[in-house]
Amino acid sequence: MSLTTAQDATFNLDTLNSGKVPVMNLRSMDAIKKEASVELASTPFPTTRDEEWRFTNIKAISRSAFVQAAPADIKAVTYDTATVPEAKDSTLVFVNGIYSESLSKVTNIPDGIIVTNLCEAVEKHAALIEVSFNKANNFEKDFFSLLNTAMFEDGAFIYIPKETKFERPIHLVYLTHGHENAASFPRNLIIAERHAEFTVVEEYLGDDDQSYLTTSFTEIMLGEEAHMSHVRLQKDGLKAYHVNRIVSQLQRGADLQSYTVSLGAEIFRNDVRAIMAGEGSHATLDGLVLVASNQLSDTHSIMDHRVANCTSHQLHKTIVDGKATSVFNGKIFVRKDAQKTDAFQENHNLQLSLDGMVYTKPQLEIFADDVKCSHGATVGQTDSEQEFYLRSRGLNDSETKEILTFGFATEVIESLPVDSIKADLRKAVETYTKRGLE
Amino acid sequence: MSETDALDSVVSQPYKYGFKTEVEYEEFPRGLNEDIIRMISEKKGEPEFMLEFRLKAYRNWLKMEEPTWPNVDYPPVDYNNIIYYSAPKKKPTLDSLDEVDPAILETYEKLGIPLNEQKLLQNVAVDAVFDSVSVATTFREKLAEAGVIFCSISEAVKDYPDLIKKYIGSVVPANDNFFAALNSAVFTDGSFCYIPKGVACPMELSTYFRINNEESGQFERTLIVAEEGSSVSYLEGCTAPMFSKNQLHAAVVELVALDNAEIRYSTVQNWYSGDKNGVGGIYNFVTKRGICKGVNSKISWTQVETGSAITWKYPSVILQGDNSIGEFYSVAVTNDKMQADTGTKMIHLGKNTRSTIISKGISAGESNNSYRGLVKIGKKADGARNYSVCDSMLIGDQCGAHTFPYIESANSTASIEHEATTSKIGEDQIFYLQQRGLDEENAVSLIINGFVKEVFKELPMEFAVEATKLLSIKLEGSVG
Repeated sequence: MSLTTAQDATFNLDTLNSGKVPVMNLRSMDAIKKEASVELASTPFPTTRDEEWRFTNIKAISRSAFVQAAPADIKAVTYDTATVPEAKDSTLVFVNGIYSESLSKVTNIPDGIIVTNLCEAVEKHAALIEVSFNKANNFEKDFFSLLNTAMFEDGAFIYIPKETKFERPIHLVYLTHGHENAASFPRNLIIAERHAEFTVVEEYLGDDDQSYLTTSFTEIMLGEEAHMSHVRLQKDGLKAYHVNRIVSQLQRGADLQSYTVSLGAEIFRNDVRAIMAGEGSHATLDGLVLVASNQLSDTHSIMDHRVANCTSHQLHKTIVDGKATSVFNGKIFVRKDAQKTDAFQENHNLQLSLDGMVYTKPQLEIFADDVKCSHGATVGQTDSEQEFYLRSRGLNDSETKEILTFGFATEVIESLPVDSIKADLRKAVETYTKRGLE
Repeated sequence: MSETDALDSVVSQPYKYGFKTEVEYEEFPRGLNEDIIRMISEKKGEPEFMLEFRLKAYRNWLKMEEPTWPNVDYPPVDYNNIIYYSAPKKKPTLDSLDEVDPAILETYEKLGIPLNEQKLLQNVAVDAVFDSVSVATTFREKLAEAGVIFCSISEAVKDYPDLIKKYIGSVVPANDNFFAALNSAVFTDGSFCYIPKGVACPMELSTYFRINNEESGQFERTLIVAEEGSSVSYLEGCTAPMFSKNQLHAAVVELVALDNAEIRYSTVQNWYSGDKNGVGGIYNFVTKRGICKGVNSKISWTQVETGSAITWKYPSVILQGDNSIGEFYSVAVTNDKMQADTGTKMIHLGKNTRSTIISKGISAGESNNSYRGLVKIGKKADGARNYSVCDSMLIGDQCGAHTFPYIESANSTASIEHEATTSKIGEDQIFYLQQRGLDEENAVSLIINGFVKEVFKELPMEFAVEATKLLSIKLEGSVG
């Protein structure tokens, strides 16, 4: 099976798992996968002629022949679960999209909470999966979510029962390793019942010297008054392609704090959607993007206010250096009956180099009158007055730039819920600013 | 009277310009083909290059598709069922106003544009376009003294072919978009204005457009050229009678500003917008673009959009000359089933170019109001600066407000700021004004006037009065 698109770009599915759709041990799951693969066959590969992909050229993805990684490649990988000490006993590790029991460590989990891989959950918790799987998915006719649904082999499954608070962050690690052109399709399902409270950290890692494709998809279902903190770290190798989809559905009074930090990958496309389906719910979708050399990072977000009295907040910051490109499209939808909505969106872009490109398109679509919605977007450089002040205090040019760039980035980092990750990211920003100024 | 009622009455008022003038017409058969275009060109006695320009545009248009990306919804337009040429039947040339059909003069009188010498006091020169042809241009002699050419574009094609040849299609190419191509093929009249080097135009120039014939479309073309160091302020107004059929208005406006020149272009658009159920009204598909060709030049667009069933309009500025300035001030009001997709494009190419965008949208009834804008900073536009604000106000829970701002920056020394807000009239604001003794209607009116003030203050004096009046007409009769 190969798909031809308008631009004659073909995305070759033949090499993936010999063109077969992986089989799951649950009948309803199989039906979903089959349906997705049929729909995928008739869905064109996105091109820059599609409004949603206007500034992101992914021809390079369609040109490579990706191969779904074989389990044999997994052996050589090592991972130390103590990297994030807060989550040393609650870490799931996936290698090339497949669960690695030996690298993962999940101990001392309180009764009722489930932290496991999707394949096992399908066998042990079929009822839960049946109710929620693929239900929040509102990516219709989207090539990459269909590709993930059709091709995924495993992913994480998290279930927090009602009135339960899980103190430790749950750390999900996705490693790509082994061979050139490896493709993986992690699929995650996170369910929280009424009054649940928990933190999830997703981390994507890979080799710098190999080109690979990660197509990930995370579904989040938050019950009434549930609180979730979600951190997503994209630290892929610099030759990687990563297309991600996250969709979360919030019931009455639910609260989602989501942060995405994008550092790696040659091309990264991130689609984040928060559906406020219950009154009084709140979503935060913050993002930090650091790109340099020839990297491209594209974030498309949707805040979907479907009912009244919901609030949302979004702070998206990008720093562009070298010949890199950053794309941001933040949509806020306020549906007909979503009165008393309060939505705020901010997008700031810092352009450090002459060859960088910044595209930003904040977008409001409002169908209710009693609302407070605003967005702001800026593109610019470090402030000359601030520079002058620091120079007058005796700092040299590069130190000045470094401090100001660092300050720009840390606004997002400071609100992250896990301390060791905060410290880690501060270092990453430092490395980035130093690299950029050399 | 409840607050909602007050708000409703604030924005709903009958269309005052909906009368039709009975004049005899000279019309071409319906439909569009090369013969019709040849007939138009022949009728107007155009030189060969104009006919070629038209035919080339027509052939391009045939290959083009109607754009579907705007946030508007309307049944397909049958381009072969439109009368492309419709002119009041009278003598072809008019030397003085006395020769104009009195019925037409009366129409303009009703519209509040006395074409007569009263204008002297107001210092405004008017070119009036009735359906497809220009009927009268006032004050030509006085303008000629200053060296300013202000005439209908048909005359300009005959009298100043070199200028026309040089500038027509230079800002909006004939194949720019579907509607611009259609206009280039069939345009029947419009205004031409040329300000020579170093001349500050002694009076404000103005064009009034009116569609009177039920079956005709209006395709006018305006071209303004400001030579080095000159300046001009240009006003444009539009009205149409009420018909249950939709009519097409596809105009093209081109502005050229050379070194140190300044053009201010103001529009009050009040085409018929259809009735409460969305029957009838004008489809207003307009391409307006200016180019700041020279250094330190400036183009400023101000528009007050209160009419049309569908508006599709993006007055743009190409900032090519170093230090040039582009401005866009807009108020768009939609009510009932009106749909507006309007905004601007600021293309920064030169160094230290600056642009300002202030857009205010008011949506009421079941209307949809979209702002769509592009700010593009080219690679060589060092030190470019943009500031955009687009605010929307929603009145009632059946309408929609949308913003689609595109920002594209390829230069790291550029600085761009964009902000947008959406809100309704604050209850506390109304409460405050009411406890100061204003009734609800006046309170609402005051708040709306405050909301649009930033844009209205950019209008030339005469238009500011008219625009404020237009807004207050919307308010009148709301107590009851």
